[in-house]
Amino acid sequence: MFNVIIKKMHWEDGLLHIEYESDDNTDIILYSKKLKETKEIDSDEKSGYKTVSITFFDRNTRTIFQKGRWRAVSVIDEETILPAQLSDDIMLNIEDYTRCFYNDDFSKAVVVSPIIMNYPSEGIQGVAFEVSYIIPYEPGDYRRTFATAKREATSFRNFRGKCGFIIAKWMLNRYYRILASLYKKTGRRILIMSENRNGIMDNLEAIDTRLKERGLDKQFKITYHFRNIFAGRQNPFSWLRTLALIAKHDYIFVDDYAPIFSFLDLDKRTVLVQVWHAGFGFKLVGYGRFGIKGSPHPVKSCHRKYTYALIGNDYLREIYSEVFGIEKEALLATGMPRLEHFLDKSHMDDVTASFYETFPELKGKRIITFAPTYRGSNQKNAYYDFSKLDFDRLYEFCKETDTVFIIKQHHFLREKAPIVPEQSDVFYECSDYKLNDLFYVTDVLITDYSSCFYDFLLLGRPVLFFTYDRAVYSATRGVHRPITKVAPGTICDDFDQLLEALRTENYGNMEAVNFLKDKCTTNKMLASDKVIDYILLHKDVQDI
Amino acid sequence: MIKINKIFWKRTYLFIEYSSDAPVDIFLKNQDSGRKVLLESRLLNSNYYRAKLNVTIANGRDLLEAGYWDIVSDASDEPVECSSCILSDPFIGQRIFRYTSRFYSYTFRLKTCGNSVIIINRHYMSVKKEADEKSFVENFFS
Repeated sequence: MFNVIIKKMHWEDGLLHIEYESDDNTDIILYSKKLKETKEIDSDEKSGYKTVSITFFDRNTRTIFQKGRWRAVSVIDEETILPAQLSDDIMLNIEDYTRCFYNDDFSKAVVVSPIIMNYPSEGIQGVAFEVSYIIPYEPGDYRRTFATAKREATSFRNFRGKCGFIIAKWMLNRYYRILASLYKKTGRRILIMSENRNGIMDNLEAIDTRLKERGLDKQFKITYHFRNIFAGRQNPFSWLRTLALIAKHDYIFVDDYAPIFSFLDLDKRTVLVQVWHAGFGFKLVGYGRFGIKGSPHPVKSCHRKYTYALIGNDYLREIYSEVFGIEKEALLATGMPRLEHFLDKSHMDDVTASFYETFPELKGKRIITFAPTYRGSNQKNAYYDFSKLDFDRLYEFCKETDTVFIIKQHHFLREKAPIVPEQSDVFYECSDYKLNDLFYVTDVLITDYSSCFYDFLLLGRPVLFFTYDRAVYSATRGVHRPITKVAPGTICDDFDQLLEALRTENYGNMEAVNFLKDKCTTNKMLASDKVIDYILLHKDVQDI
Repeated sequence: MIKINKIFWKRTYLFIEYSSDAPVDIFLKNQDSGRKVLLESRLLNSNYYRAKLNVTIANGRDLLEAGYWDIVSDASDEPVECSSCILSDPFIGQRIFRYTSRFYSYTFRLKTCGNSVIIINRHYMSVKKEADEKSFVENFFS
């Protein structure tokens, strides 16, 4: 797909030097899709590489490159344009290649940033240089007004839309404030809610179950409210009802991202608790992504509003302080409530028996579970590229070794995995199953940047990391810790490596670093009890 | 004697590496308000430390406020001296965080002041209109 690969880039003042390899002696040109313009650059040849130098900024000749997004491409013929690709080394440190050129009094600046461009129809990523002109701005309290909408708007229609949002948010906030002032806070009302799931599960379910086991549902009035705002448009009454519930309750337990809290000035008497589902995953979320694609607002993100957030152990405090953009003291290292019965033998036996009742033909076979995370930026455009797996070779290997291969897709993905009927004796899709239930029958887990391996490690079984797009993923989505340094298992960069690791049972170093060990294995007290005692009963709880 | 040898960024973390004969903490001190922000230091090897600051939570649950910041130690309020390689490269310590569809930028850069540096952070916004772009380019160097 690529015939140009950029191997090295370095800046010399405002001059960007690029070294690249080219299959058929084609040159790099810069192309603006918006302006429908191209800029040719003279190339040179140096020790086997082709080189180009682009003057983005030059004080002496008073040169400023034209504003816009300039894709680095190579032209094969009049109709074929191919994106230039960045080497993995550059992609992994792409932020370091941004340069900002200021004028003498810093009242103006030109920013040049290399950014990864997606070419969805080809399924590839290229590079572009984004040139922006910027001027100083005092954000104050970041309040959004018609003036800010006017400033940001790209057209009148866009301006009208932004104003509509500002008015709607203002009205909803007023509505909430009025209701919140009318409801008397009794300290006895609990709301268990989610904005991206239609039912209770994981940590919320564990806390709810424990509340009932302890008979606390008689002391507290528990209300449940679930909706998935990412799955489609919600009707206005759904928003009004959600706000009314938030206004009424004293304690709100929420799992995952809940954007409704982003624009609310939450009543100070309300305790908002994030029971975040993930122990540790590689992918960057929340304020770990500040400043990159999909960046949260500096202050107006729901993450900043949590009174408390639960984490799996003390070592995760720093990571989640970064993720949620809140102080470490607000993080409660209780362990994951959903894992507190994960290692109970009777529970394991029950779940295992139930699985083999459904799939009796799998008894005695080795089971590999494949549970990658999704690609794409959100629930709507989420996908996984199954072409990276060679199903035929995998089928052959599984037949030889009496193995079955279970695929558990991320819940954002709606399309079924491409399993052909002739291979359905080896490949099973169990995307409707709870992943943690599948773990009990799993001999080897294959995952990538997902946090699911955090739970699986408790069973002491091997994990393989199939990260065919490690550099691209790091550059576009971002990772908290380098996967090569932290992953407790063999990292496979392509299908051949994956198959080899399975064939030779080379699972690598399974010793998990400290922040991958959930407290649930060392706790004398249940994680959910810690949450209930500390937050709801205001008791002194040790070791959180 | 304290000397800063390296300043770099990783995600939202500002890292400052320094050598010191005795264990000391370093701070960013706002030139206007005098507010000091402690950086979390750890010993890397003998007399060599690495301090870090997450700028997204350096002001409660808000970004480190815009302003001019001296790097000082708990031993003295005088700015800490920097090595020549920091003083000579105008791009060291530079970082730009884009937010709200890349319209706004939260920027950091260093300004040399004698043997030390001042960290300057400021918010910027994009120039969008064509007329403004033209005048931006025309007046950039004037």
